[in-house]
Amino acid sequence: MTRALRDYFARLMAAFGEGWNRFWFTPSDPATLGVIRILTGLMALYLHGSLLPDLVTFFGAGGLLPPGDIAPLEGSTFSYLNYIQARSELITVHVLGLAVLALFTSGFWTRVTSILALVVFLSDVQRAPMITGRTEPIVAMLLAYLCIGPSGRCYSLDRLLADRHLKPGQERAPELWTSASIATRLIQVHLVLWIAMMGFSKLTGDTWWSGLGMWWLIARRESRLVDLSWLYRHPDVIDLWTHAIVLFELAFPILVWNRLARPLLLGIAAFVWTSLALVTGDITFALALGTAAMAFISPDTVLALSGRFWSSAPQTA
Amino acid sequence: MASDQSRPAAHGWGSEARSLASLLLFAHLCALVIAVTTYTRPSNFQQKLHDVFAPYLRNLHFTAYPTSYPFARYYLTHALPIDIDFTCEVTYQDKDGQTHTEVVPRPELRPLVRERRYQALANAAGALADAESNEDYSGILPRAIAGSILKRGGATQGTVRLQANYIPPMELMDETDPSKRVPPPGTTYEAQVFISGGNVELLKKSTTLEVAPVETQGAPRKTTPAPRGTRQP
Repeated sequence: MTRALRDYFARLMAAFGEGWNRFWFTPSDPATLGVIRILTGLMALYLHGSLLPDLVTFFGAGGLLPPGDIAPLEGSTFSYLNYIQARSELITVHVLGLAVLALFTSGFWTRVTSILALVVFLSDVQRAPMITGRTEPIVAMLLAYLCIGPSGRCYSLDRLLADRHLKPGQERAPELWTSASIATRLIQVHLVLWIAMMGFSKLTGDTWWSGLGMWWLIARRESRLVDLSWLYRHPDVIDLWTHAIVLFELAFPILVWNRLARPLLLGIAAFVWTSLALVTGDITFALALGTAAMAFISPDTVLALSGRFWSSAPQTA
Repeated sequence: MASDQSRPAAHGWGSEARSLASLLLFAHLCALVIAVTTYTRPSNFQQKLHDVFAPYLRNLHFTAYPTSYPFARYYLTHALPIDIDFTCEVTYQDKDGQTHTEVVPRPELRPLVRERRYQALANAAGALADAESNEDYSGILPRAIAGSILKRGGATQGTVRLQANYIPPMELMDETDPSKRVPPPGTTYEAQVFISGGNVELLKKSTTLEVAPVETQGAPRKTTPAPRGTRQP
């Protein structure tokens, strides 16, 4: 009996170890990460850049959010903006941050600029979380994981500069990176956990059980992009929409791991997140989720779509 | 075309590097699972676990567990009085005796994300003024917002008011009279603001967050036990 148990656990551990290594450490092409870097960088640029007109109003001396006053609301987190209040200093630092994010997006010195981009973005967010929303944790997550993987190896200035030394007609050999797999897997797992959290947190209230969740979003006049309040004449549609969103958020974390179901889930995700963006007005949140979901698109598909498909590339991720 | 590309260059890791990475990944995944599972209704044990990982999770913005109130509501709405949009109005007289009213958020700010930031600020102030929230927090944002606006306008006193924009119940949507169809905004927090010697002081008048939305007319749908579009218990 003891021997049988020991054998069982030995087999279990061996299988787990094998699966763990295959999941996290099978080297893969960083093409997907390259695309995610560009989209995440553009989003971070937009969020950071759009702060510029209100920078002094929010964070300047005599601004709406003095760091000392709002400290009890935000916890103790690092932000270099906590130490700057002068208008000229704020603008200088902000423009430098814009430059860092632009370099990161274009993939220049990506190993360094990816880390700097994360610091810039987190400083914006953590200076005043009360002016942020659902988008920022997703973008922060993407920036953090892009620091791990070689996201600058594809679709980047780094790549262009490295290829300058190649002879005419010569092409660089494809590269497979373990760190690319780890970064991609981390984005996948994080996104799945986050969507599961979105689904389960809805179930802790009655609104999403009773079918009213979407009405509460549709009826918020100040937030919505599109007025769908005429749907009150079709309460069944509102019920169905509400239940479909919860069902999707509970199904996605499980079914997206199935290769066959994945394209379908990603298609439904695009539809669900777009519909939520129209109703809540939170476009950046939908874009951030869409960017994170790119991690489920294999590098082969990305390379094929970008016209650089390498037919003998091994299957990855 | 040349070909040094017959085989891909694999940047694989040795077993020691994989072991170390596995350890870090495991710790990171534990932190993530704790962050996700503590988002709503955490047990005391979960809260303690969250506190252990909090410096890591908070500094990387990997947790949505609220410090003071839920800044990022991933559940979108629970039909609570704080799950609506708020407006913050500051009224003051300038040195010439002219009355000014500044509203947060100012409408029509572009790009849209700018307006959303001001809306988030007003919503945070409104949510913190909720009678059920921590009393110590309720005046922080009204004081900061009003103090800034008064100082900018060169005034020494004024009034700050938080208005809740209630959600219309589905039953009232058939009303032809818009005033009945759209519930009027309700004042949830009002305070006099004084500035003396650079300090901002608040004298609170009321904190009366009503149950939203107002349910006054219209028969509830027979198919549902509770009135549609009303706050759930």
